[in-house]
Formats: sequence, structure tokens, C-alpha cells
Amino acid sequence: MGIRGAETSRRGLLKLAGASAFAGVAGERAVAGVRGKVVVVGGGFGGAAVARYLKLHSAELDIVLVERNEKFSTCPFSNTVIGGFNELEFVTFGYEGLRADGVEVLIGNVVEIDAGGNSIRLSGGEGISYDRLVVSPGIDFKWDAIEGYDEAAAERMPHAWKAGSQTALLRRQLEAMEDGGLVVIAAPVTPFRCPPGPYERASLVANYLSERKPRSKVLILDSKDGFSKQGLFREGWERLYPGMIEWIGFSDGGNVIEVDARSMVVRTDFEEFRPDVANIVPPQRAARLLDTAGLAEGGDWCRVDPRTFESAAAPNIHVLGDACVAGAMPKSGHSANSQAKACARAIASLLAGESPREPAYINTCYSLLSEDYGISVAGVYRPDENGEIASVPGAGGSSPPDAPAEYRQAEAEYARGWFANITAEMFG
Amino acid sequence: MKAALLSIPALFLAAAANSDDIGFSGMPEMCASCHGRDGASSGSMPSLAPLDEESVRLLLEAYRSGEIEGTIMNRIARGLTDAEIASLAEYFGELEE
Ligand SMILES: Cc1cc2nc3c(=O)[nH]c(=O)nc-3n(C[C@H](O)[C@H](O)[C@H](O)COP(=O)(O)OP(=O)(O)OC[C@H]3O[C@@H](n4cnc5c(N)ncnc54)[C@H](O)[C@@H]3O)c2cc1C
Ligand code: HEC
Repeated sequence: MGIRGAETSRRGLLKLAGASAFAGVAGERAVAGVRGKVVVVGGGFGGAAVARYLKLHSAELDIVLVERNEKFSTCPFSNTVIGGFNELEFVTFGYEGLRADGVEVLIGNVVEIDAGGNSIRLSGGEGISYDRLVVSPGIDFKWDAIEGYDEAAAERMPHAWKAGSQTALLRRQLEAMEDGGLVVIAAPVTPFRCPPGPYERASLVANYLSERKPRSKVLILDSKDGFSKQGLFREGWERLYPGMIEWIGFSDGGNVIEVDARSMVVRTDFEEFRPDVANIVPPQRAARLLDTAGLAEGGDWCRVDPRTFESAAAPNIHVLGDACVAGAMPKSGHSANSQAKACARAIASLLAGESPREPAYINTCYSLLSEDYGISVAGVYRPDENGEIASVPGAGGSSPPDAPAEYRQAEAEYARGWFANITAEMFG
Repeated sequence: MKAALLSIPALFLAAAANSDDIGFSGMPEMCASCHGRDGASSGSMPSLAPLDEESVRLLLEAYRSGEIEGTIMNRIARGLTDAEIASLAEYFGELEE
């Protein structure tokens, strides 16, 4: 059995439906009705989840997942690798679980989407046709939005905003740094992948430095005047790493406009810094692949239907995760996962000639400030009458301020629990 | 009629087409990223599978009203409707045995 408990799940659900005695029979007929080929591009938070849930709901569907890399390293918990609590292997997963579920996983680089021809093309030239396409390729960086910050510069000044070799590079640089060094983290304009991510990273870098190189400093240069869970992060920094982390917002000169990776210079509107380690997180947009089918409509992100995640620009193509505009939902792995589940149901409905049901979504972003200090922000969302995905009023929100240590400790434990379960759901 | 997945469908979907049942909103799946698939958690998050229907309902209502205080569950339960709580309770209750 591929996915742990998939059988149980099926049985549970059938049992639920089994209130009617003919559910089993109806099930078989229905499955036979839902045939077709769904191609998924990207085996990350949106893509791996949608492929598995499609297979679970509609076993007869042909599901082909095309992913560039043999292994996927999650950005969630990659800051614990940078902070030195975990090795890169801890956040790295293979596609065996999906294959065992019957998903055909192809390792390849998709270079074109032909919306008119209902097909995609790989870098080797081969084409794959689809009845429905789901794309969840994540972000690309706007190289040179910060002058001098291009792919080559990222080898000296890592972004570590896609996990893997960049994560390992930033970790090595921190290990090599002398005590008393300066670490600069440049945080981008909104919207970007994982709003609390830069500040979690600053925390876990400070955690490492305070234990091993206590005279060092972490300086966050921000292109914004505020950030996610700001009060909670500041409270935690004062408690855990007093004096070590400094944050400079946009209005105070935090906006990084230029870097020189060779001489290790970082310039803002007002000032010049010479850090020992520079982590530059550049401005972002939806993966450029999506432009081959005009899915971003000349902009940075892809508009979608709030119920099915079908593109506003092209029929039969669904866009999930960081690449899409999902109203009040932040660009997070949990959001992508939640969207994938609703999308899998919607596609099964559409292929069966039914109209999709009304979805609801949940997101949570846990952040660790140390191994036993966690905070969170959560939300419950539904499509509203304007066709936007809106937060349910009264629900969601952040962890309380000034909570006792046991509360922060419990949230750190739950953050690890979340990671264990969501990655098992995707890859286990 | 308690409906669930689109795999069960055609006939069944048609029968339940007018139901605003939780199964169709897919809410139980939304709990899985934290509580594990089929309510079986592999980490620190509580497993939901061992709970019976009544317990799930009472717990969700208590988190929603604030009668019990957790770390995050209150913030999530406040987003659930009565109908969703009833259906979630039935769904996870079914996984019990
Ligand atoms: C430091 C950091 C910490 C984070 N922490 C959290 C957290 O704690 N919780 C949380 O919920 N989120 C977190 N996130 C955000 C999360 O990583 C993203 O929101 C999530 O990965 C988005 O999912 P996705 O499916 O859109 O893209 P991804 O998960 O990035 O998946 C995209 C996949 O598509 C593949 N791909 C792209 N283009 C092609 C192509 N042309 N051909 C073939 N394959 C392709 C890529 O290789 C990749 O595997 C964090 C992010 C960062 C940077
Ligand atoms: C962000 C992660 C998260 C999500 C999503 C989530 N829960 Fe929870 N849940 C928790 C945590 C953590 C607890 C423990 C109480 C606390 O600290 O809030 C909990 C507790 C519970 C409990 C009480 C369990 C017990 O044995 O006491 C129930 C029932 C429950 N959740 C049901 C649900 C349902 C149903 C959903 C989906 C609608 C859901 N949860 C979604 C994190 C989550």
C-alpha cells in the first residue's frame, strides 16, 4: 500500500457514503465515468498533493507528474537546517510514495505549455498531452531587480529561498564566519513566498550565533515597513537573543537596491553595508514557464477561479500554490496543500460532468524562534460573493502575545508535528 | 445522506447534489495536514481517529466557544459552521473502529 492509510481512508469514506447500501456499486460506476489524463507540473507542495488526492478520489484517472528534480527539499523547516538543528536530508523527500500510489512520475524540465493544443513540452523536445493540466511550479526570482543580484551573485550571496544546494551554501557560510561577523538578510517586497520566512530565518541564525559566535549580529534590511507576526517575533527576539537582531524597515533605509557580490557590498537607498554573510531574498513572481501560455496575463501572478483554481486566462489549466492569486491566503506550503485538495475534488467533478462543490480552505504558518519557541498564524477561508477567497471573520489569527514559555514550547512541538504530517501526506 | 468523495459519485453525486454536506466541501481533508491522513497523526499533533462522533463534536464546539483553550484549535474551530462540525464529527467518528 503506497500511501499510509490510503486504504483505510477509502474505506472510511465509502463507509460514510455507505449509509446507502448501493454505495459500492455506485462507486464503481462513478469511477468508470471519471476517466481522463491529468498532467501535473511540479512535485512540490501543490503538485505532489494534487497528484495523490486525484489518484485517491479517481483511481481510474491517468495522473502524470512532471518534476525537474529527483528529490524535493522542502522550504518549510529548511531554516532549521540553516540554524544547524537538522541536516538537509531531514527536509528532502523522494517520489516513491507517489509512484506506489500509481502516479506516473517523470523527471524532466517543462519548457512550454501549449494551452491551445492541450499539451506541454519538455526540454528534450517530447510532448505530453492532457485533458486537464495542473501547474504548481512555484516562484521565479526577478533577477536584477536588485542591481547586481543575478544567478551568479547568488552563488556568493545565497537567497536560499528554494531549498537544496542554496540552503546548504548559506549554512556553510555561517559555519565559516568568524565570531563578531555581520549577517545581512535582505527581505523582499510583498507578495512573496512565506511572509514570516525571513524573520524565522533571522531567529534561527541568531540561535546558532548566540551559542557559537555570540559577538556576531544579524541585520534584516527590509523592503517593507512591517512584517508578518512582527510583534511576536520582536517579543521572542528580546527574550531569546537580546541585542543580536536588528531590523531596518523601508522608511528607515532598509530597501536594498544594489549588491556587489565580489566585494561583498550591500547598498540601500541610504547606506552601504559590508556583511560577512549576505542572504539576499530577491523580489518574486510566478514561475516564468507560465508565461508560455500567458497564464500571468502580462503580470507577475496568475488569476484563478476561487473554487477550482482553473486559470482565468486559459481553460483546462489549473494553477496552484505560490504562482496563483489566492485572495487572503498567503503564499505558503500549507495554502498550496489546501488548494490542491479542493482542486483535486473540482477536477474529479468537472471530468464527471458535475459542477464543483463549495470549498473551504485552511492555512497555518508555524515559525520557530528556537527549538522550543514556536509561534503561528492561521486562517480559515471561503470564496466570497465577489469571487475572492476571503478569511472567515472571527476565525484565524496569530498566537497571543506575552504567552508563557509552555505555550511557545507547545507550538514548537506542534510545528514539528505539522511538518511530519504534511510531508507524510505528500510523500510518505 | 452523508456524502464524501468524488470517487463515490455519478449516481451518488446526483442523489446528493442538493446537499450542502461537509463531504463535498472537503473539510475533513483540510484537517489532515495537521492531524494526519485518516486522523492518524505521526507526530505531536493529536490523532483524531480514536475519537468517537460525540467526542469530536463536543471538542470542536468547545474549541469554537472558547470553553477549552488550545494553542491553535480555537482559531480554526471558529471558522467552522454547525453543519460542518456535525459532519466532521460523523466523518472522524466513522474512522473510530
Ligand atoms: C525559508 C522558507 C520557509 C518556509 N516555511 C514554510 C512553512 O513553515 N510553512 C508553510 O506552509 N510554507 C512555508 N514556506 C513556503 C513554501 O515553501 C511555499 O509556499 C510552497 O513550497 C509553495 O508550493 P508550490 O507548489 O507553489 O511550489 P514548490 O513547493 O516550490 O514546488 C514547485 C515544484 O515545481 C518544480 N518545477 C518548477 N518549474 C518546473 C518546470 N519547468 N518543470 C518541472 N518542474 C518544475 C520545482 O522543482 C518544485 O519541485 C517556506 C518558504 C521558505 C522559502
Ligand atoms: C494547524 C494545525 C491544525 C489544523 C489545520 C487542525 N487542527 Fe485540530 N488540533 C490542532 C492542535 C495543535 C490541537 C491540540 C489543541 C491545541 O493546542 O490547539 C488540536 C486539537 C483538535 C481536537 C481535540 C483532540 C483531542 O483529542 O483533544 C480535535 C477534535 C480537532 N483538533 C479537530 C480538528 C478538525 C476537525 C480539523 C479540521 C477542520 C482540525 N482539527 C484542523 C491543530 C490543528
